[in-house]
Amino acid sequence: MEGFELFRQGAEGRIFKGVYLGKPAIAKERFVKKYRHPDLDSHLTKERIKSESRSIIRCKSAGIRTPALYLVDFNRRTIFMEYFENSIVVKDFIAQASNEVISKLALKIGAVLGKMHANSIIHGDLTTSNMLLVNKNGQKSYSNLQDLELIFIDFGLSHVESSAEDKGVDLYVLERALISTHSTASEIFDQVLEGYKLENKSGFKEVLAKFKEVQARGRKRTMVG
Amino acid sequence: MVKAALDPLVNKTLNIRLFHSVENVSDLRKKIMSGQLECCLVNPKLIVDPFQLVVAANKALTAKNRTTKTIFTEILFNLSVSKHITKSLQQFGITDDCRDLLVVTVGDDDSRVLSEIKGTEVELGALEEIRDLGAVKKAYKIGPEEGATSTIVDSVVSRIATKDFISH
Ligand SMILES: Nc1ncnc2c1ncn2[C@@H]1O[C@H](COP(=O)(O)OP(=O)(O)OP(=O)(O)O)[C@@H](O)[C@H]1O
Ligand SMILES: [Mg+2]
Repeated sequence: MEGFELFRQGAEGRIFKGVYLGKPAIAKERFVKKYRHPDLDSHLTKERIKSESRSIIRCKSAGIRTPALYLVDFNRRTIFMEYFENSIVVKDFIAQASNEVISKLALKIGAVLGKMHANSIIHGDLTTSNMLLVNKNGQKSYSNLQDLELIFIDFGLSHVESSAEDKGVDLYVLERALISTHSTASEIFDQVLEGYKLENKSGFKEVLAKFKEVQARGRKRTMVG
Repeated sequence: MVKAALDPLVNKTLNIRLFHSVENVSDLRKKIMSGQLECCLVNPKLIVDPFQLVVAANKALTAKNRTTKTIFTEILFNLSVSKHITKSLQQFGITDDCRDLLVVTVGDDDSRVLSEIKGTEVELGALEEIRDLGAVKKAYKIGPEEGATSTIVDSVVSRIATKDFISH
């Protein structure tokens, strides 16, 4: 793609980084899945691209910052969106931050997630690689959490759903992701729940109950398996 | 004026100019409708930033199928979140009594269109004084929550990019 270079290659597609319409941008392209019938494949891809875009817009309406969308192109199976230049993925930030700072960040993560769920947005792939911290002053400095804005990205597996069940699963996915990448996962997750409670007060109890159910099911599965 | 690069697939430039005190608006509109003049006249009150026009035009020029007749009506249509063609064209187009207007053309040379406009060209920065942010927020259904986090340009272009499959 002209003006772009390959940035990431994932299981579902490729991400290019470059300049689009004069702005720093990423182009997120989804692979053709050869084992599917071509018509079905393009239909499913189109639906995925739509739901990714829909969640990004829905977050914006709810006051949650997400990348700006520049072009959604079904033919090229690509979304062109804003690239956050002065950003670090939360995973890398946590790796070098103090426990005190991590705890504050976790509270923020929980708060944004609570707000997302309160607006019926299920992220579907909550990992610390799918969250960015963007420097608000346009500098490449990530030492002060107060200068950083937390932004969720990668809504490729998201959907709109108000049920507590799906929200509980979302939390469970996050817990598992934390456990697999961070040594202090349980402290982080406890703070996430604290933040979550602040922004999704009315839904918290039910979601937490669902989360525990899903967690218990997960334990049983790993014990049997 | 602003010259903007579009998608590499399009391989064309977009020219955006802002005019004050245009005297022959009704004449220009007639010429556009009869196909004698290839450009799009946009109401600057609803344009926050030239980038808004770039995103709408880029969408029109990369689309496989258009919804409206010409590339220029398509740009106007894309600017609106409405799926209703007439409503969109009325909302972002101009009326005979408009004196400030944005002129959008596609291609390297817009001198032919330029020579037809009887008005004063000003810097696009002057949009800041003409645009009506309240009207923009209303047109794009941007609530107070959203205004606090995203910049208004980001909100606007994201809606333009998704207008064909999301009801805003
Ligand atoms: N808008 C953006 N601004 C800055 N960096 C981004 C942006 N979007 C994605 N990235 C970077 O690219 C990585 C992958 O992006 P994303 O998660 O959207 O795609 P993905 O296909 O799910 O990739 P993966 O399988 O690696 O998760 C992110 O972890 C982040 O480092
Ligand atoms: Mg990802």
